Amino acid sequence: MYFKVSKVLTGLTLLLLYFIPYSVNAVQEKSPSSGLNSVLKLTLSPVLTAQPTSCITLHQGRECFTNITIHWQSIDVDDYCLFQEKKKLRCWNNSRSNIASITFESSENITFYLMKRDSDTVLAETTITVGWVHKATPRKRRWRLF
Amino acid sequence: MLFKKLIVLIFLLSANLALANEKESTTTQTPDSDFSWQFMINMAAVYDPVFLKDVELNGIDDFLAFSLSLDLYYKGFYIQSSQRRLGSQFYSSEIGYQLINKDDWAIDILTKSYISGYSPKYLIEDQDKPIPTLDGLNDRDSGNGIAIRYSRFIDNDLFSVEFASLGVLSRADGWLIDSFYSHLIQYRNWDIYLGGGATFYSSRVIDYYLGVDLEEANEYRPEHQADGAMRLQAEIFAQHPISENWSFSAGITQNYYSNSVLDSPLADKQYITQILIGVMYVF
Repeated sequence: MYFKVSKVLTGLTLLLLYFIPYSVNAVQEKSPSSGLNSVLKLTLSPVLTAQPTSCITLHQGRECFTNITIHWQSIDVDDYCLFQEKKKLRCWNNSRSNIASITFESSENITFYLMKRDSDTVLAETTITVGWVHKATPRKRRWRLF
Repeated sequence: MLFKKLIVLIFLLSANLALANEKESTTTQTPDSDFSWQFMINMAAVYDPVFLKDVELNGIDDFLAFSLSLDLYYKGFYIQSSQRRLGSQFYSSEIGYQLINKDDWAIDILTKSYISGYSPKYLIEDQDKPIPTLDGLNDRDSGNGIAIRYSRFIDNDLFSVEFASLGVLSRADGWLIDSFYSHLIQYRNWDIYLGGGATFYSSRVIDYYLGVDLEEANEYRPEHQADGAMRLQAEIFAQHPISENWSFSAGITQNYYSNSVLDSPLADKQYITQILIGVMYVF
């Protein structure tokens, strides 16, 4: 009886010892240090942001005007270019981050892209959306105050 | 009587014209079939004096305006609050139908309120001092009319002239011709409207609002039969978006009324300046 009990305990112990390393690995995979690696990876990829992110016009379809500030940042020092859709706006040589002030003038959303010079790969992008107060109406608008 | 028959005849002809337009839809541009609507809340600080003698603005409610407005369009039928859009009078919305709607011109039939009515009793109650010229005077109803309007659109310019009869829908038996020119300047996100207008009111209209009947006459207001009158307007109005739901508006209108208005014992102002600063919430 004693033998049988000791055999079962030994088996359970071995089983625990077998699974413990995997449990530790599993905990390690979910550890903060692993998440930090992901964050670092994200941080390392180039970032392109714009302020403000939207432009509001009075009527749908009308050109919207605003001054936007675009900020980009990368881990690598290199030659980077900023594009408005397919149009090259500006390039920077041997740079890692920079700021550009742009006069936004459009009736539609416009996306800005960050690319390396002489490369077709989009590193980062951001979109300025165009909104409106009054939607388009088939009736011509007339205004008269009093 | 003959005048009312003429108005009815014009509207019958207009109805025929509308039907003809529908039949000729392949060759003539009829009103768009799209449906659109917008509901708005307006809040404004206003300076809007009246030309009635000794009636002054007092109290904060005389300087604040809150209104609801609806723009609705369906197959040529529309409700639009074009006049006093940011004012306090919801009934000022016009209801109409586009008989002809070309790219550069249009003809509408419509109904709207052209002149605000007034109640001497309530006006006196709102004042700090008595107004003997208004005391005991009968109420004047608002001047609702039916009209035909011709509009001409050239780029950012709009000219419209409308002929309205007030005799069918209101006690202000008479007619008026209202013309208005508006030029839109778009500067960045601003819409700036420069406008000018001329309105001629028939003698019956002016007599209803500013005339004094024999039974209304007393020592402060002698009997008075008013002649037709002219109003000239010049205005500047600007609007700017704040967000997708809010916009800011400001405007000023200068009015000049002809001498026949000032001849009335009920009126004492010939030049009236109206000012508005407000915001609009669009749903």
